[in-house]
Amino acid sequence: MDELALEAGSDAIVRELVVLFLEDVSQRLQELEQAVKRGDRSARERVAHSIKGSAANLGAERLALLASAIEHCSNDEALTEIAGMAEEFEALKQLLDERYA
Amino acid sequence: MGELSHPKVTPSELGPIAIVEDDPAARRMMRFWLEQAGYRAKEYSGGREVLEDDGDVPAIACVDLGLGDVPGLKVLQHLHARDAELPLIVVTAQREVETAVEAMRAGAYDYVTKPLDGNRLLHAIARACERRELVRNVHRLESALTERDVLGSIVGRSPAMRELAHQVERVLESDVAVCVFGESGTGKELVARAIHAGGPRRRQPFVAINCAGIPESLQESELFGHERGAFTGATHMRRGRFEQAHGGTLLLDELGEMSLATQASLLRTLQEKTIRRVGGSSDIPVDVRIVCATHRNLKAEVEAGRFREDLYFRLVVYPIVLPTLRDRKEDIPLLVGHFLQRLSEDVGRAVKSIAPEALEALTRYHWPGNVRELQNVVHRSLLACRGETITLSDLPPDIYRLALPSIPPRPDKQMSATSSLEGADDEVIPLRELERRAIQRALRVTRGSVSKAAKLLGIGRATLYRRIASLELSQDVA
Repeated sequence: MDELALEAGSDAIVRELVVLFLEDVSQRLQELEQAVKRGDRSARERVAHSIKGSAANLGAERLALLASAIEHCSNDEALTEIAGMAEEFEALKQLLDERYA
Repeated sequence: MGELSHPKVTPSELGPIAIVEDDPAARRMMRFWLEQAGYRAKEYSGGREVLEDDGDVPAIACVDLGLGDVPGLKVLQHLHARDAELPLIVVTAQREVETAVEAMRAGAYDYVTKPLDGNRLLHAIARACERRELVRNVHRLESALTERDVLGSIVGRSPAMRELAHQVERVLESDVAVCVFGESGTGKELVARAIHAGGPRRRQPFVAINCAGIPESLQESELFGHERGAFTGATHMRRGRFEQAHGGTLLLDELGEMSLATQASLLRTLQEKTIRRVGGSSDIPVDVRIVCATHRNLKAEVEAGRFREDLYFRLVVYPIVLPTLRDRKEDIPLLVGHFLQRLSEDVGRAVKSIAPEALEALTRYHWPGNVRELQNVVHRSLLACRGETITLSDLPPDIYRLALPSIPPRPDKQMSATSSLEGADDEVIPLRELERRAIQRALRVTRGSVSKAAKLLGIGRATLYRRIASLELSQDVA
């Protein structure tokens, strides 16, 4: 997240963005998990796509890649991928919490 | 941001910029950048919110193409339909640029890719502002041109035109029934438009109907509309000109050609201030200012029983009589200049002026078709003209012949613009006669000014005076 696509400037806005991002992705991760468990392919693709976009937009490249994988793989593969993605998200969250809390 | 050319409208003067984006962080980021730059932003977290918002159209809209709820293209189409000139900026992922191209076809003006870059976004916004200003300027210019059109043809420096301008001014504010009389081509419709454009109804429709162009059997349905099934072929309900002009002005052109049956219905409408569509049974209230125009002598039509007297007295409360062009020849140079300026742009020619002798020929012509004919002649001459100045030879033959000396045109041989000084092929003109023609012509072109004529002829003023005396041409000197 060092290459946050923001010109520096105000710390307050970065903090706000981080909070919005974390809230949004954590909610979408739940949606994603439910979609995978339901085997709802179109919901999975839609939610994964939006996570990918949000992550890429803030420069969270690895998270974006994982989301992209989940968008395009089979449902079975998604079940395992999603665990890795949750881990990556937790790590990112911790990092961001430390830096911007 | 330093390299941006700043639009004339400052960001704070601009209306809100719509951000349509379902990613909350991206939305917040865009809002942040826009507000930092002084713009106002209005956020929409999805497409549905946009479709349901029937408030003011934003100044600019940034639309994410990958919205979760409604396809981004649909949002674009919706906004484009609400305001075809609203600049739409598409936000899309780098890999989806093809979709952006599709979006441009749907009316998008520009696109920015994600990951978002603040400078890029603000640059697109600034360009969109400039374009918005440009479009507005074009509109302003267009409406100014239309206004100039209206005034240009009724403003002249002749006393007749000044009097006309006063008359028009007097009837602007009230709904007094004006009837414009004038020969064909004198600008009756322009006067009617000027009355509409100068009065309180200017923002309402101006509708014209030419009674001469409509068969008697259809006049009523044209004026009052008809219900579905009112007659064979009436497959749909149709509103008539009265309804179309509601709130505004209706010009009844060539009123003298209206059938007696239609006259009766018109009279009833004027009395009741309602219309009834052909085949209909309900009375529809209408509020319309009526202006009439005709080239006929309506009083004579009344006496001949072709026009209802009661209708005449209702419609001809304030008659305005347009002068013919031959009664205001002093306005010809002004009108020619006006048409030159306007038409040379239309035909894409850089014609800037008209030669004095060509102008002279135009003022000699009797203009049976009045200003409209003059406009057509200027148009034709512009097309014929090869240089920057319209010369005699660019004018239609009927007119340039008038520039020739007073010897009658020879019926057996066609004259050209220069033949008056050359004679026909086998004809030898005595030098003295050639000299007389050259001097006469120079004096005519210079309106009798000896010193200007001498310059044109390339001789001294004193010499010219001597020659004028010798040739007995002193009646041509101003």
